[in-house]
Amino acid sequence: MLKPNESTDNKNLQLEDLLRFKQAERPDAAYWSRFDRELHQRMLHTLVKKDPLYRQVLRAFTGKLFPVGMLATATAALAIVVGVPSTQPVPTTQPALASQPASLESSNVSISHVEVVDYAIDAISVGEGDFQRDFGMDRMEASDLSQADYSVQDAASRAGGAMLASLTF
Amino acid sequence: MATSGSVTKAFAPERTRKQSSERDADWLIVQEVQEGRVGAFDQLVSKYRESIFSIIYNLTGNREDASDLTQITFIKAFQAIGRFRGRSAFFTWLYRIALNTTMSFLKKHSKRRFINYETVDESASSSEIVEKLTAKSRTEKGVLVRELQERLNESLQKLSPKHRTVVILHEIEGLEHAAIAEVTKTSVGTVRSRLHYAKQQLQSYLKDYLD
Repeated sequence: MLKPNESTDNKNLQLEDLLRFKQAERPDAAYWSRFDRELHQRMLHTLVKKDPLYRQVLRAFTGKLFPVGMLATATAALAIVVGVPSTQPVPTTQPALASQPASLESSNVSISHVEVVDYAIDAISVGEGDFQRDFGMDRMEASDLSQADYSVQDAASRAGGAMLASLTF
Repeated sequence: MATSGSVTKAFAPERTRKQSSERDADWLIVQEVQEGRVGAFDQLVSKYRESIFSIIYNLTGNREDASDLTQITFIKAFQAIGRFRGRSAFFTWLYRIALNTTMSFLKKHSKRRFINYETVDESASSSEIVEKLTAKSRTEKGVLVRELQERLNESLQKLSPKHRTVVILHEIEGLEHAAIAEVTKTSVGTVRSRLHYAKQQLQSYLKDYLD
């Protein structure tokens, strides 16, 4: 072992010089020819190596299921796309009425036992029955109110437009 | 008369040009491999096997492990070369694979470590360093070389893997700070800091040779 007192001539020796010595630790040419041969064998072995059993099973399983899964996914996607408009809420009652005859036909129920609301008759009876124009009467009655009633309405009118509307009815 | 600084600056563009041409040459070979001419990969192996071996050997301190891990590095690179897009230099990518492979190995075998040194090139025995050391030590040259090899390797193994990596890449492989930062995915400042600390540690471990 080199002793500190023996190295008086090494003062200009730097750490970098010592580390450069590490560059000399290199294998010889024979090693590299063996290295290349082994590497080629390992690379070939890696290329042709069979996968572990679980991977083979997994690949076979997913390989068979993949087309089925794709078909199911496509069907589900199509169903969603087609089904979305029919599930939207219906804004009026007319489509429900229009669907009634179809449902009656399919269930073979006699049409005489089914109560069908006849809006047309109601519309005619409005014009010819005991119908009274309520709005017109209210306004007429309001004109016959006493002075006290008017004063109440005036007080209410000072409170605001909303109150005035409620008193009028 | 030109100073050493101006000489370095004068050579800097030349070195950059050389690195750039090497990078282009590597990229052409990589593209050949990617196109299916896998035999071209041998050119990359021949070019980088010694550097990769040296890095791994100095990190592990075991020539058998280094040999095995060098082969694993090239196999991994071959398997992944289809995904290499040339954003970094090929050697940066390859060094990174080598470092990751070695670090995983060191973590896995942290409790089981065997030292098995590589033989020293005969030409190193007649180097200036050895001549200086043998001048006054009265020790036989072969013994001195062996002792120096052991002390250097022991000292390197005392460093943490991160510090060891930086010292190996800079002082032994000659990589610049920026290149080391790219390989290790750290900043240049971190590389400089680690290098400074590691060299301080090595100075104390090897003071017998330096005082």
